[in-house]
Amino acid sequence: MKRVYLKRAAVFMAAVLTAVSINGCTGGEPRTVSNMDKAGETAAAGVITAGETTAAAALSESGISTEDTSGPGQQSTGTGEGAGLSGGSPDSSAGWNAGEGTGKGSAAGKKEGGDASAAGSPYKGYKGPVQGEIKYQEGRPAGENSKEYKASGDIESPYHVDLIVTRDYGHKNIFAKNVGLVRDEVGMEVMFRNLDIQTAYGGGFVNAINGLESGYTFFTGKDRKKLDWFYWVNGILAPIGVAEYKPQPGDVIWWDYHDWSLTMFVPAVIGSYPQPFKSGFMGKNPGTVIMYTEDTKEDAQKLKESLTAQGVKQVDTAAYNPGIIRAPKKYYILLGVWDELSQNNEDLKDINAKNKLVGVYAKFEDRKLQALNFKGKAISTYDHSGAVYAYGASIGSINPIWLVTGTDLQGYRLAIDTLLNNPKALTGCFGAVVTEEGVTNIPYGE
Amino acid sequence: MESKRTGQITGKYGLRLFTAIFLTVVLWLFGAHTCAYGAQNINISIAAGFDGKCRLGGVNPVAVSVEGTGEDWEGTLTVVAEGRNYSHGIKIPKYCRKSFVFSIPFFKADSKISAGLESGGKAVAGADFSPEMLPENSVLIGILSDTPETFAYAAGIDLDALGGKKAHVVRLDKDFAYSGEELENFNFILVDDFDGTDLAAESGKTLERWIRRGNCLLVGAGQYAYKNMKGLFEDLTGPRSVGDGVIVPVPEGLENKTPEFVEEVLQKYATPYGISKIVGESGLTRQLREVEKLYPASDGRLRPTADALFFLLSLLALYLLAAGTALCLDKKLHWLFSAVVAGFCGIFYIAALWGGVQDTSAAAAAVKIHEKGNTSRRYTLTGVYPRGEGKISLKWPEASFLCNCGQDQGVEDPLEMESGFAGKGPHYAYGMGLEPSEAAVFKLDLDQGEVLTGKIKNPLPYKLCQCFLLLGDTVISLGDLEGREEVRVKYRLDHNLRSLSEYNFLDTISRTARMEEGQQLLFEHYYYGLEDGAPGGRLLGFADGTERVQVDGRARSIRSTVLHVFPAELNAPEGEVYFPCGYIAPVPDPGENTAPAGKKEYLPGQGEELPVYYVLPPDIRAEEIQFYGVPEKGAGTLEVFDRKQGSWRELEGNSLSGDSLDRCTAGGPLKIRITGASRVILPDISLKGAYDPKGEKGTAGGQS
Repeated sequence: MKRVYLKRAAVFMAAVLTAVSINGCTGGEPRTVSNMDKAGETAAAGVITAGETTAAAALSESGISTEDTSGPGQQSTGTGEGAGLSGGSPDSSAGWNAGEGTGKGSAAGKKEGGDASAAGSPYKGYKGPVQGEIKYQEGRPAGENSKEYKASGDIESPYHVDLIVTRDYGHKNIFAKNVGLVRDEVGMEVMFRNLDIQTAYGGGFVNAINGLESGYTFFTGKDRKKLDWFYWVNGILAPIGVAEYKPQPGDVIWWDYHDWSLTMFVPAVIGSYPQPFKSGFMGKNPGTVIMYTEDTKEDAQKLKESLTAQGVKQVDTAAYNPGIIRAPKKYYILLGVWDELSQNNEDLKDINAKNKLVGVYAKFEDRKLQALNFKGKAISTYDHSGAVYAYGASIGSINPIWLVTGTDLQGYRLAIDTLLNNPKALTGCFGAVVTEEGVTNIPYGE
Repeated sequence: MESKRTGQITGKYGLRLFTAIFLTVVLWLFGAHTCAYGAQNINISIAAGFDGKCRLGGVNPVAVSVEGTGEDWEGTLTVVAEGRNYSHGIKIPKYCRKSFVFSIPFFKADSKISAGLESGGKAVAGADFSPEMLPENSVLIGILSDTPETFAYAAGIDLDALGGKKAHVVRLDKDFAYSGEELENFNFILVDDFDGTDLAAESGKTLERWIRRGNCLLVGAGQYAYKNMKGLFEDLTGPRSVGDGVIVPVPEGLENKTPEFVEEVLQKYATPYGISKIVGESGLTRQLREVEKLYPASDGRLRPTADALFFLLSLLALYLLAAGTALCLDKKLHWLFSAVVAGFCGIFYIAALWGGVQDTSAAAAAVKIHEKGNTSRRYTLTGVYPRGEGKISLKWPEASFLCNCGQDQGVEDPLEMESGFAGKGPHYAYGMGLEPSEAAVFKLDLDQGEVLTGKIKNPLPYKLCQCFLLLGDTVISLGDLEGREEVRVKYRLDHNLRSLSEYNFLDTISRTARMEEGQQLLFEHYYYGLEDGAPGGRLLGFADGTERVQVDGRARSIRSTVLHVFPAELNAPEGEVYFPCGYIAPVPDPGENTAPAGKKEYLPGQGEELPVYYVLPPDIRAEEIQFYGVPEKGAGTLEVFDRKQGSWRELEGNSLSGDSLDRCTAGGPLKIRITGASRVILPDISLKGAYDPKGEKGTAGGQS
């Protein structure tokens, strides 16, 4: 009985967290200031030299490569809130991937969008939004709700997104395709066209994909397991339901089905690199800052050039500032050996200590790197190895901090070389441990 | 017995009947009284904006006239606009008419304004008004004239070279009873056939402050010169710089001219602030967007000070000592222990009542910009942190404008400068006010070798922390300056901010000045929300102090942190002028499509053009202009606009001089456009030239 209450409490907590994240977290001779000494010129007594008065050397910034992200015209699909989806109980919106099921892009929208394939439309095979058509009965057993909702099929469109579906923290691939997108439609529409989807909690919660069903929603007692679908947009855990999120062309939408019994949320993952630096989240990109330590300044410049070449428009380099972790305003990539990065940085040490609880599965201890499984247990321990992983303060934190680090300079080099020269090796990874043998996705599964 | 009982019953019924009749009569009288007000005794009418036109992104006047027709009336006047409630308690004597002007910001194009009168919780009268909403970055010209009809041509003014904006023209009221914030909606003011002495002293000051802020006023010096050239416009012999703005006498007069004639004058004397008002979003929009980022700076002032902690620790030590001593005394004196405990409890209780331990907390973060002249503009964010969820009010009597921040749906009283909040806090209010200032403009020397010399004095009687001087693309740390302390500067400009991206620019300033988190937020608020691109340097420094406000009707001194900004200028020895890189700030015109990525950075798409203006001071003859941060070949192009030919040409060699430069600055600001780059960091310029007060644009009328 107690366990049931605990589980309910967990669901309630998740609801609250989701809701919170959705809603928003004189006298005498005057002293002289001069830098003339360094130029070999004599200044008055009491001179403050330039070393005290000026900061880091200026970094010349120049224009970056060009990219045309605009497309030929747009089509609105009608996103009125008209359609009445059967609503759930107040706490039923508690879903790892759910916002509130608002039914935007609904039946009313379909009427308008019904002729979307007609002449003048940039889309072929598009039959209008379908989300409002999906019905299910709240509170019924899973079996009665498990009617298959077959994918209606992809469309031809000038706009595309990458749709990726995996399970067990990215260890098993289920689906991966560059699919068509209708401008201004919600993510759920993309899902319905390309995957067999079952929804719950009012229609905003993805309960099953291609028959792989939540182990929690429609189960009770011993059958109930903390297994669910989560999704990331450009490597950032979406703080809103997929029925509200409007994909932008070029986005990488990644769904993963995994056990959340210990880690409630993994706020950021690295497997969509060079996202989020390229496209940002929900069409907003605060820009990227690569922070370097004394040994890694050249790498920062190389990484900047690499990102620029991959289409990242706004990227800067700056000396490492430990203060940015608490309230990041940009996307940050921290480059450096772990001991240097964590020195005088209690926040980073705290993240390392909490590891699995905050969605981080690389742990540094005694100049060794531990690769953890999803329960936080150290499965492998490495010397002279590196890690690439992302951290976000919480669900709703959409400015992740990436760390490219290592146990020592040798380990760090492995990590940065992978990012610079072999970034594809990181594709699909939640986080990565990099050794001489190659790249390992962390956390480990069962 | 029966009769007695009957008699008792009759008595009870009688009392009840009497009570019922009494209550009925009282209620009827009260109701009839109220209805009478609603039906007969009070009238209301409403008008808004300037000639019925309101400007989006600006503070607009909403005038409500209330007329009492029968008896004295007392109640509440409420104005609702854009979902916000503005309310003010009023008293209208019988047969009197009173006008109440609420200064209200508008941001939505479909705004409808409703005004209503309430008394005893009942609505008794109401009126609606739908003003014409002018776009935020449109051109609004005010006419001050006894014969405004002679300015009909002004509607045809099309400032093509300043963003291609069609002008809207409104007639200004002769009594000129506008607040400074309301007047800020105007881009230009034209004055002719108007007696300058008609302006009340306070109105004249408001108008002068509007010019001083960086705006441009044209005054006819033709047939009505005898009438116009009075008061503020007296002794004008040519264009006169006033603060960052300019008054331009037009010898031909301004009546019955052609739009082209005025366009030419307006372009010639455009100021950086004036251009940014035309091409960019309004200052208020910027400030209110940026102010939410300032919340932590206000919150940070709630932390206990070291002095308070030391005081409490010493009190604890004293208590332990006294209580311990009492315990060690003879048994007969053990009552002393109880007395000590009770005594200290009493002290804490009194301290709690006096210090407001259980009271609502409040703190502030402010930016104070000291203008050229004796005034300063103060922008304050006040955070109110109530203990409970009840209603609470904040009053800042010295403010000229006060509004609730974010989505706070409290009731504001724009006449009393009072913000009301309800529900769980914290709540924030953002206000602006004018204050006297002791600060003077710092004058510094810069030689051709870029060695900066001069003295900088803290003009304030208290300490300024983390002071730094921003001059062009160089930031110089000055450390802490005690009250009235003077520091001598001899510094070769090292251009540590040159061509930096936005992030690196702010990061370098922050590191150089060794700013703390709250100070950094204040500086960013100034940089993004308040800095208006006027040429010159700035001295900046932080001071912790207290602010006088009223919380729930009680005068309170709340802790605040203030960023002070002082203007700094360069002397022109022997008439030669050298403005270092960045001294003249670029004013970008991103249009509707180009995505801003900050203030210095833009992300135009492939093929998109980003026009940028550089406004040269009117009394300077430029001889050479050098560009810095020009896009590299292949990454984009930089073209300059030849004003004489009316065409664009590619910049050659990163500099302009001689005839080539004259052609680009003749009759207007230097205009460039950047094309084809995906990330643009605005180029900066340096200028070599000569001081030329009697030149083409010279301010021969002098400066004030």
